[in-house]
Amino acid sequence: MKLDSKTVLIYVEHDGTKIKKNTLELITAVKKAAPAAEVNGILLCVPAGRAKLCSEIEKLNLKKVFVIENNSFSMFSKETFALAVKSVTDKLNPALTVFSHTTNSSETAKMLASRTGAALICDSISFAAYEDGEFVAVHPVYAGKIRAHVKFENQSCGIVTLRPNVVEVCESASGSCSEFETVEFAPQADNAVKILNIIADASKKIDLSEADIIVAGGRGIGSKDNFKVLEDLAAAINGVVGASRAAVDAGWREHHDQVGQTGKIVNPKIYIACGISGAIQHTVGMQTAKCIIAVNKDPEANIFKIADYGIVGDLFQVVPELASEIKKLINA
Amino acid sequence: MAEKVDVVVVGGGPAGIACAYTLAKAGVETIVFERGGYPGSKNVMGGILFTNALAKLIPDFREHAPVERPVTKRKFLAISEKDALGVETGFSDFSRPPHNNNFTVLRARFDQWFANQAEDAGAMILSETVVDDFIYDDNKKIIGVKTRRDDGDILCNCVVLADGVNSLLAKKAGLRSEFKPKDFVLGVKMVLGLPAEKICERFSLESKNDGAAYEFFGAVTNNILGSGFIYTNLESVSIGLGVALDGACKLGLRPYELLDKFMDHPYVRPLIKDSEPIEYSAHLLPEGGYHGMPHVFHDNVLVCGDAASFVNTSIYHEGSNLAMESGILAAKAVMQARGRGDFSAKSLMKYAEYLQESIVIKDLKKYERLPGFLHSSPHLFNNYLDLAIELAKDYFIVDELSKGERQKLMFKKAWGRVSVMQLIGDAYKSFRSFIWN
Amino acid sequence: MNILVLVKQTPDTESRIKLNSDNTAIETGDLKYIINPYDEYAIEEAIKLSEKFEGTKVTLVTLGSAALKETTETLRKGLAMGATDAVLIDSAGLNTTCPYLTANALYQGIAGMHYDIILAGMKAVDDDYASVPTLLAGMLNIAVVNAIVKLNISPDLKNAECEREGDNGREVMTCGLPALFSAQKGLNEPRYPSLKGIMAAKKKEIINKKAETLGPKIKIVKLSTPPPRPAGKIVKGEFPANVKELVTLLRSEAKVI
Ligand SMILES: Cc1cc2nc3c(=O)[nH]c(=O)nc-3n(C[C@H](O)[C@H](O)[C@H](O)COP(=O)(O)OP(=O)(O)OC[C@H]3O[C@@H](n4cnc5c(N)ncnc54)[C@H](O)[C@@H]3O)c2cc1C
Ligand SMILES: Cc1cc2nc3c(=O)[nH]c(=O)nc-3n(C[C@H](O)[C@H](O)[C@H](O)COP(=O)(O)OP(=O)(O)OC[C@H]3O[C@@H](n4cnc5c(N)ncnc54)[C@H](O)[C@@H]3O)c2cc1C
Ligand SMILES: Nc1ncnc2c1ncn2[C@@H]1O[C@H](COP(=O)(O)O)[C@@H](O)[C@H]1O
Repeated sequence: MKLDSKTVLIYVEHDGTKIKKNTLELITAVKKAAPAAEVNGILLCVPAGRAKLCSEIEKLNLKKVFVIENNSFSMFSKETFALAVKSVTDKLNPALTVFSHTTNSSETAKMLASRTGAALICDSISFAAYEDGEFVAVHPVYAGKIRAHVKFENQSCGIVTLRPNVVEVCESASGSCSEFETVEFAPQADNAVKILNIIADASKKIDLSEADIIVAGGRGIGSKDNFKVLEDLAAAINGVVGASRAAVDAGWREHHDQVGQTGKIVNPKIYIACGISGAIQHTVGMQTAKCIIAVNKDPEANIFKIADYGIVGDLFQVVPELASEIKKLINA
Repeated sequence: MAEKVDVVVVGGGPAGIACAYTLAKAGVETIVFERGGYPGSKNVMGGILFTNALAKLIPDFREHAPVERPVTKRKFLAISEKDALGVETGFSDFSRPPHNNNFTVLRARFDQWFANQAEDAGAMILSETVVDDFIYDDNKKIIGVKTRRDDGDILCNCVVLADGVNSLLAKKAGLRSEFKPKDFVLGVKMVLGLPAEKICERFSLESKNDGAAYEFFGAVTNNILGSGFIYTNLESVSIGLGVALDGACKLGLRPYELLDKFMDHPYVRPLIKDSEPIEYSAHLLPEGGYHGMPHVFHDNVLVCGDAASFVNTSIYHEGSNLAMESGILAAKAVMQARGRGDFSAKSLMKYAEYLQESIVIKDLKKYERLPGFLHSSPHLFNNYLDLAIELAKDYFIVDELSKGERQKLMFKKAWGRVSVMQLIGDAYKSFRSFIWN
Repeated sequence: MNILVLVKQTPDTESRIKLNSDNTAIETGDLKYIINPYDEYAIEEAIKLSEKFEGTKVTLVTLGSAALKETTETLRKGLAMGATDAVLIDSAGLNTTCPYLTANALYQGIAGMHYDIILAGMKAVDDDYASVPTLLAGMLNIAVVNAIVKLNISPDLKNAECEREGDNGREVMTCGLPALFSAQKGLNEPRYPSLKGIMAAKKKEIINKKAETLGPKIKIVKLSTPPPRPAGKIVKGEFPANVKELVTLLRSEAKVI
């Protein structure tokens, strides 16, 4: 499929009041792969959030944004959300619909593919136009050990999802957008899956896969309470705490904190691995971090092979010192 | 009620698989328990496979088995800290089938293939299953084994122990006594990836149908009893060394440090330059030789392979063929016993007789003095090798000294380091251990 | 109750993956295979349900190469855990790199089979698409919930209540049966098969099926390996000087703080 001057639809992701950075990442990636394409957006929101969100969208480089307001959007339902997006794609017929590969948006994307029959490439890390102008999405396989360059085969419309945090936002994402079109949408009553409740995480922190700084701990942390050392460091540098599977399996951290092949794949700017040996199943989940720092008392630990900086030593000494040194530097 | 099979084989190495293959071919219900993820996953072998035993089971193995290269060239080298001195063989016959029955293999690949053959023949092979103990009847007779799984008991008529070196089960069955460090050689090995062309170039091999085996003595093991090796596979080389465990313990040596040093030797370095480490492993080999052999049978139980110390460690690193051979013989004895419906020690004694007539015992007996001799003569690996290298180097040095003067100096050097009596003594003992006994 | 479990064999997560010479496929010669880890959770959940609901039949369904021994091995591992039956849809001649075609072949394979629920893994750790379950549910026109960490089936087999981790917290939801659920880590702890189970599994028959192929919707143009990470450095020196040095390097050299 060639994008040339075709239409692209970008799913605008937000937290109710603010547009998420990954929306800008989507625009950047699409503009780069298909400079001539007509890039539109779709916004699903509750009526109360519309004004605020639209004022943010005005600063984005989108031609036109389709807005669907509905109170049912206050609670995420992939069926409802996919149906809402479908009401726009049915009309607009975009060659490509682009979502961020977050937990919820990727579900919406898959549901949309399932409902429309459009081809789907999930979880890509970049887009490109090939020599012949063919649109290609790069999708990591085998937990990132290999990259597959994937194209749509004989399709007039496709759906892709792009991993958050892998594309550096460029100026091409910013611009002005003044064209908004409100689309009518009536959610169907008999949803296949009904959401009964969403139990929000009390700490309501940043999702690991979108975090810029991650401080991760492994078996070397030794206990649930000891994770306090990492939390202090995380607090000092505005980071989030992650964990190896060993720490999760020991019950010290929740599963959603797990980094790795059977956890989250993360792309932070800084990843600090403390008391983590660097098993392949762990490193495939964080090896694309821009800067990896490892603290381990075993100089032979595998983690040092992929770390940019390593300190051989006891983490209970090193980590608090690191926190205090960084605080000093930031305050200076 | 636990299930029952005819024969339980413990261990999916060459011994266990050869045994199971032979039994299954004859229609005997056989189950093999292997503690590793798959047969071969836990094996550490140099590895040259001497294929005479294999050829008896699968004559056309060459067409199917994942062997790497035939060994067409051998080199024996003495090395000191920086220098090396060697002899090389290049027997053109060995470049043609059957290649002197010498092939390099990667055991992770080979064992799996071999196990598949046994499975196809009808044996059941269960990986990731450790056998912990025997099940006895009221008369203390073995009637089955306990595996480390839920519902893990299984009954059988006969257990074949092929669980490798340091067989805890052979001990439990009362077939062998406590182990001592001097009964073992510690082996460490790395597989290093190298393109096939590079291997041919560096080891001067004509094509990938030629392979080299280099054996190293001397500084490779810090001059304690042992040796090092480099074997060429298709697209990798196996490099490693074996050291007497007692010697290694005494010197407090860490095996991987020795290996690191070996790999950094000026003679070795260029051979493995720019290679990509694929795996590292360490393992023990039995070194007791003929005198280290346990009792190999008892009521309802037989021992074969490394578990029975059927290894010619010292010079040849030869074990896999003896393992297979003994596995086949164990199977034959079991089949006979089965025919009689009697698995008592008396009935299984046939196994010992078969072994006596086979290459297994004949070879071990031939070298029966070797382990004792080598252990009691560490200077062999020390004085002689270093001296030989130095003398050879002197011989080739080109400078102002005349040939005659140089030779005089060399003799002086030699006699200053070893006495005539010692040399004669060692020569005699070597002769007895290696050649005539 | 009838449960179908979709299982796939994937290379061991520890495997080193190598590309072939023209970068179109991976070298499979030396690969060790395992049941896709997420599918193990699905199998375990099915067996747990079968222990709860008497007379439950748990049928494993895989799309894989019938010519490869590893494919049946994978199924036998699942049978050893306690599944009752296994169906192998032969992938010979099918393009399995397109999730839509995989879903379609599975759809053909399970046509005519009875099921109250279908369990799957939330993603296969080889192609990492995490989309076959949703696409299949769409074809079957049944409800789907992905990445569940908890599942309860009502005694009358009419409804299910399940939980998953969403972006905004733990989502509790309900749906009517039949439905498809894909399993996330945390759903349960897969069991280690008993010896009895393994022995029984070795003797079970595996049902072979075939599927028609369609044109793929997506296609792999080529494969590549990610650029290697340059070697890093161990910050030398005694504690706490090394930590100071590290912080300095992070600011001046890496420019990340
Ligand atoms: C199918 C499968 C999927 C998997 N998926 C994942 C996954 O998604 N994510 C994941 O992480 N793992 C995963 N694993 C597990 C993985 O193989 C490893 O077992 C795991 O990552 C090990 O965690 P660890 O590094 O914390 O523990 P260990 O390997 O035990 O390492 C602990 C480290 O802490 C160091 N240490 C101890 N005390 C101190 C101290 N006081 N100061 C400094 N250092 C100290 C030690 O030197 C050691 O290196 C998976 C495994 C399988 C089989
Ligand atoms: C470094 C090194 C280099 C060598 N080089 C050569 C060489 O070049 N040529 C050669 O011929 N020989 C060589 N050998 C020797 C050779 O590896 C052995 O002699 C041979 O593997 C013996 O075969 P086996 O079947 O008796 O034992 P193994 O191959 O050791 O097999 C025993 C099996 O039993 C399993 N097992 C053990 N306990 C249990 C249990 N309780 N329950 C279930 N399973 C169990 C183990 O996992 C293992 O797979 C070398 C050995 C080493 C260490
Ligand atoms: N070839 C296959 N055979 C059976 N099930 C499959 C196959 N491919 C995918 N699945 C199921 O779909 C899940 C998600 O796979 P994927 O969408 O490929 O990441 C897996 O965990 C399996 O349960």
